[in-house]
Amino acid sequence: MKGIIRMVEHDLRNFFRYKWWLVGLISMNLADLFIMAIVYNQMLSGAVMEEIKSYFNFFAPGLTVTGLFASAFMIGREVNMERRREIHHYMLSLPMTRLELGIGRVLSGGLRGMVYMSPLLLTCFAFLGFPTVAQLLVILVVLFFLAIGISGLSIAIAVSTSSLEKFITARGLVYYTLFFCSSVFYPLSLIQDLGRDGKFPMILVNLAEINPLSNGSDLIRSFLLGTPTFSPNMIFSVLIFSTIFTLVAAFAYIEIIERT
Amino acid sequence: MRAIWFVSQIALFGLIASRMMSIPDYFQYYVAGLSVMTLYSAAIFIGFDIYEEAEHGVFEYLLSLPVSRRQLVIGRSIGGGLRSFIYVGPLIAVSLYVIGAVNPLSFLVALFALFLFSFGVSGMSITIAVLIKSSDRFDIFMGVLDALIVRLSTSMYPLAVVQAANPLYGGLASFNPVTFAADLFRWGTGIESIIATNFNPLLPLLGVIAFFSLFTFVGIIIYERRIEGGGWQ
Amino acid sequence: MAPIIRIENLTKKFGNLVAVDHLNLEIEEGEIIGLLGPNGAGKTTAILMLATVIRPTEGTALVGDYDIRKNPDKVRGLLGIVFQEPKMLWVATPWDIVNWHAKVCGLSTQERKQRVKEVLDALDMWEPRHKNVHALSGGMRKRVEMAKVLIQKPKIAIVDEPTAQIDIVGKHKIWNMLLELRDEGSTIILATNELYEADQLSDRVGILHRGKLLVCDTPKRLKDSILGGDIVDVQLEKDAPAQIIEDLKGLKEVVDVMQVKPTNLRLYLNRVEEVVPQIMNLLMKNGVPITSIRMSEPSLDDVFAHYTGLTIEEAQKNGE
Repeated sequence: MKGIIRMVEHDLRNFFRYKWWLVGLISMNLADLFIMAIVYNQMLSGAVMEEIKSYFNFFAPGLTVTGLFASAFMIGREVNMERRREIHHYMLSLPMTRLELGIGRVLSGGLRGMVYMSPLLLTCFAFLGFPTVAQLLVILVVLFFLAIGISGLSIAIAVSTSSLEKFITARGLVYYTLFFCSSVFYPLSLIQDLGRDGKFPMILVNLAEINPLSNGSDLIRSFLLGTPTFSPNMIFSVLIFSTIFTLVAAFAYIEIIERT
Repeated sequence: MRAIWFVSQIALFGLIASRMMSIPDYFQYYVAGLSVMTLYSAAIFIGFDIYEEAEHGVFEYLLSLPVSRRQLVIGRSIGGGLRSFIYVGPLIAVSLYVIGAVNPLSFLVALFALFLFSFGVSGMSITIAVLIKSSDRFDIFMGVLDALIVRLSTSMYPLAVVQAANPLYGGLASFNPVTFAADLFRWGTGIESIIATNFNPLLPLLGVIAFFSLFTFVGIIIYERRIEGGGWQ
Repeated sequence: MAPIIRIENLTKKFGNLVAVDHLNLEIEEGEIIGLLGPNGAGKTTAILMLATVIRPTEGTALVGDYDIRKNPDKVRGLLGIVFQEPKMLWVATPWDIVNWHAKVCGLSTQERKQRVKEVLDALDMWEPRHKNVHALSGGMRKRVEMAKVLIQKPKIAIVDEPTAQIDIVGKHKIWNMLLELRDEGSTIILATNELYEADQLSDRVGILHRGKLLVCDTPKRLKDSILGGDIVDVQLEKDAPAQIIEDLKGLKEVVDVMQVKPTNLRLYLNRVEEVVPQIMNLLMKNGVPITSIRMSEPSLDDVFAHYTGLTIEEAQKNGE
């Protein structure tokens, strides 16, 4: 347990050392909400306007989830760099068990996501209204599991790619596919319509439907905006994703970084 | 990573987002803007290189060469712009393929403007790097600038829409070099008529030239003054 | 007393390359044992196996009473390691690094605060303690790497090239601190390719070459193992008589005598400190006045060359 706490402390402290990256991400997130979303509001078609009423309100929960995603995903980059520079040798030499080390990394990546996301979530509440206590608890728990799942996914990619180029490619493909193939920026119904019209691969439509980013965003929307309708699948999808990738990542991390 | 970002923007975001817009052919509009955004982000990198070189002592080596300071900064600016243009070239070709029709003469003018734009962005990056002198503060400044300059432009939406959303945003977007470059690129590819029937390319062209001139020549002066006598440290 | 570390047939292979080849070694508690060899000899690989960072291909080691294969967690509880290349993220600061390391190693808050200040101060790293690692020189990063173990004071300290990239003043400081660490009860494994460092610090030196441990003994015995390795140059006032040369050759431990010049004799012998008085007595008894006498012992480089046929420099050039 102590080892896990120490790893969390280590990674959280390092997170705030990447000042330039954090400021860049914050600027981009705020600009997306207070510039892009406001302008997009003027451009929506009648049908979409009918469905979502306001793009700003629609996008705010999505932005919270993208912030969580970007910051939780970052741990993979560090893990990959540690492996390339053999800094992981130091981690492996520490007086803690491998399980503490693996779980500590996944957990700290997730907590980084939660820490970064919090002000965005508060911004969301400030503009869209506050949820009930029960809803708030559900939101926080689901986002926490989402964060550690994303952290796990990122770590799994980081340890399973040996070279920097492969890592960047794999990371980019996974990151942008999950990012854009979700309901973060647009209603899921648009993606489904494109699929029905044969203009979008059905596999990507299915991906968007089960994407934990979609489910996380839609969960917040269902509580704060009343649409889409809340479904327990939103929670289950995130939990399943998180369980799979947390376990995969923890064990992959331990197995692969010890392997030389 | 940038190439993956570009392709996913076209194949995923652009495709899906255009479905929710009232503007016809928004997909083509967005793809053209995306090319300019990518060119911007590639050209800005020269500023980061300056800090990297300073850290590794390469900068001192460059200053010791039998090359005038003026030649050094012009060379860096052109080099940075050219490098970004070559790098983004294939992506621009992809966007041309996606957009479709091209008017050869106006396209050449637009391409020339993009050249100047990328040199201007490199020059701006170098100027800011030399002025700020701290790599952390530079990274932070550029992060903020990047977020604002792209969103307060016509790379993602027409100027009329920006102005309708917020007059202040519209005012800022009107004088943004990314706006000039994006509008010219659309004009060069024949799709500006989607948005504006009486688009005049002369103004944005002058805007790009002014931007390039400002940051190349003012940049030279600032660069020369700052780096003499170890001022870059 | 049982040795604190017992290494039994420890082997590591990377594909066809045998980096460590059936290493057998016992290390006594409280000693400083030097592992001497050029780059690529297998020192770092052996160390990483002991620290349970990499898994052996064959063999094992007992550290304390714990097997590195069966109880790696317990082994790590006894160890502290200074890596050859400092292992730190460029955004971290020396203060963060050493404080965190001390916490992970279980130091109390008070102990940690005190030791961090003492050690960073002693290593001239107190002033730059809040600077990012990327702003530090190579020598400063190495000092931070060293500081971790000096603060931790582990039962067994493994130090891999502790003074690489550090200036001569810094080197002496670190050597003194390592000796203090040993005096406080730590066992130290010192991997180095610096001959002087190995010679001065180590109670015993093991010579590694191409993954094999060739020999392990005290520096003195290693030097003495070279037959005729000690050299004595005697300058006489007048030409040396032939009989004197024969008498000198007859002394025990004298391997050979050369008449470099008529008045200059060079003797190749063992145990110079015991033989020199005999040489002096012989020459004085025979009325042969001496102008000067100069002695030199073999270095560990000579020892390395004796066992491998190459100097350490040659071995490094050959990409050993």
